[in-house]
This record gives sequence, C-alpha cells and structure tokens, in this order.
Amino acid sequence: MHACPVCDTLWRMEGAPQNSSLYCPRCDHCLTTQRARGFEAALACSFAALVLLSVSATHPFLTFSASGKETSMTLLDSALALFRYREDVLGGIVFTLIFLAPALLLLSQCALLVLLRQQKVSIWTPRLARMVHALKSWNMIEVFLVSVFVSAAKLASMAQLELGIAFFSFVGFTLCTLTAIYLLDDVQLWRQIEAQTS
Amino acid sequence: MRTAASAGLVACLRCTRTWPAETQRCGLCDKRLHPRIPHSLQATTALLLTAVVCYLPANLLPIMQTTQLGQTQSSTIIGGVLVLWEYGAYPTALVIFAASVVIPVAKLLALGWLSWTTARRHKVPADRHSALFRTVELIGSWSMVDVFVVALLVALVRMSGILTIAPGPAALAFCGLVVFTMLAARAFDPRLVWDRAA
Repeated sequence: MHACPVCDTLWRMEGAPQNSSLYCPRCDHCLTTQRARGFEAALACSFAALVLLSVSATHPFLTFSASGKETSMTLLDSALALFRYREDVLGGIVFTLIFLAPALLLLSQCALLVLLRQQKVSIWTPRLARMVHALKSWNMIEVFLVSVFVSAAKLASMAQLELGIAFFSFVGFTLCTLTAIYLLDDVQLWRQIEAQTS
Repeated sequence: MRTAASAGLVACLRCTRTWPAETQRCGLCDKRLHPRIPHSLQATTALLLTAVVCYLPANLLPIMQTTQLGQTQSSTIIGGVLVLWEYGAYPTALVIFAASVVIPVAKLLALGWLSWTTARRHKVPADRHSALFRTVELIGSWSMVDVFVVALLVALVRMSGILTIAPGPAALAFCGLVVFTMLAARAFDPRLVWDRAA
C-alpha cells in the first residue's frame, strides 16, 4: 500500500497500465507516472547533461567588451568572484545551486541507473536514490539561465555582451537535466529498488 | 476515502510506502517515519519569521555597488528596476519586479495564511489550500534571479580603474530570504489541512 504525500489517502498500484499517470482521487496530486523505458531515457539525459556541464565549466561563458577592453568569464567565475569580495557564504550558496548540486545529482543519478540496469544488488543503490531525492530541490539552473538574459539587458547600455560556447552548452545542460529529473519517477524508482533487493 | 492514519498506518514521505503505525524507519528507503511532520506549523512559522527579518535589509540596503571612474554608486533592488524602466527595458524590468518584489511577498503571505488557517482550524476548502501550496512550491526558487544577476555582473564587469561592480549587503539577505521561505514550505505538512477537512 502507498499513501498520497499531500492528503494521506491510501492507494494501490495494481492494474496501472504502462505509460500512464495516477492521480489522487481526493486531492488531484500526481502520485506516479509509470514509463515503459523511463530509466533508460533518464540515464541518457543525465549522461548528456554531464557531458554538456563539463563543456560549460571549462569554456568561456560570457565576454564583456567596453571601450576597447575585453573580459571574459567562465561559469564558475560567477561564484568565485563573490569570494574575492569576502562574500564567502553567498559565493558558497551560488556555487552549490548552479554547479555542485546539479553535478552531484547527475553523477549519482547516472551511477544509480547503471547499477539498476545491471541488476547488481549493492548497498549503494538506496544511498544513491536518497541522494538524488535530496539534491533535486537544490538546483536552480533554469533560474540562472534567466538571470543571464537579465544581466545582458542591464549591461546593454554600457557595453557589448557576447555569448560564449559554454553558454550554449549550458542551455542544453539545463534542458537535459530538467528532462532527466522529469523522467525519473520516485515511486517507480523505489519499486524497482525493492524488486531488486528482495 | 481511507487515509493511512485512519487505517493505523504511517506513510513514508520519500517513497510513499506505508508501514504499521509504530514503525520507526521506512523499511525501503530508511527515512524516519512520523504520522505527521513533528511541530510542522511551529517550524513553518519560525522559518517564515526569519525570512521576514531578511526581507527588510534585502530591500533597504544596496544590492550592488558600481564604481565608474572613481565614483561609487549604490543601487537597491527597486532602484535597479526603476533604472531599467527608464532605459525602456520594460520586459526585463517586469521580470526583476516580479521575481524580486512580487514573488517573495506573495510567498510570505501565502505561507503565512496557510499556516494561520490550518492552526486556527478555519473552514477553507482543502483542495484550494493545496492548489495554493503547490503554487508556492513551484515559484519558490524564481526569486533567486536577482542574486544570480549580481553574481554574474560582479564576475563580468571588472575593469580596474574604469568600471567595477561589487556585491552589496542586500545580496546575502535576499539569498537568505529565498532559502528560508523554501525551508518554510518544506516544513509545512499539507496533510494537516486534509485532516481538518475530513
């Protein structure tokens, strides 16, 4: 038996067809979506996102030019620059939200899905699943993407802004990460873990 | 409809499995089990008040300091919105206004109202209550836009002697506001609302 996390109503999984969503009859909360090849698709997206993130982290993100001078920054500079002004807490939070949390989320998601695919019973499977669950709410990459456009608008009056290769791979990274999170259903994941460990 | 509590069960909020009422930890994902989140309303209120305390410096103190040719200028969040509006960057001004002024206030009011009506057992339709709570969770992270903009500008604009941008004290306060309202939303147990409705 399962219970709805929003209104505590009991529900059962039996007879739910593949590729359909179950909604709570009492509060209309989406309880679970059973996808036929959801894990494979989520693994593919997580891996693609990791590759794109590594491009984003190592290449120039934005280039700023004004009065003949040019400065360019990388993704991590946006957090590291705050440390230079002794805003250590703020820098740490920004670093976590745009890089550390999504990177750890994708790494643990990849490891977890590979373990599940190989049907290996490991003490790491539930640990990784818990980590994925905890990290999901602490990445704000889509918000960061919007703030790039806002910054561009703010600087438009005084200088020219050029988007670097890292920016475009960051757009792809955001899309892949959000798709991977969307495809990996919590209930389906824990049922799979239960089926493999017992 | 039968709830887990009325059936003598306790539900796990991570994997949604139910267990006999006296179970301490979820047998599947090892989360500590409680029939309802302990002291949910007190914790939500405390975190909300912390967020309110952060709200004042976040709006009154400067969020960044621009130094152009030796002259330093401080700007607050509202000041930044007004400058963008004067330059004719209306969409950007509206994005910042919505993300930094409207959303945080709406979130504080909504969560405050949710905990107040739940604590006072006011008669509010539970499905509307849940819809509001879902919205609060959904828009939760979008207020971070302004903090990320500051981080980006600080990293990007650093031409010593000509133009530099430094983070102001409001940036950290604003970050605290976002984090504490997110934690407050997490501490709130939506099942309490449905218990009263039953």
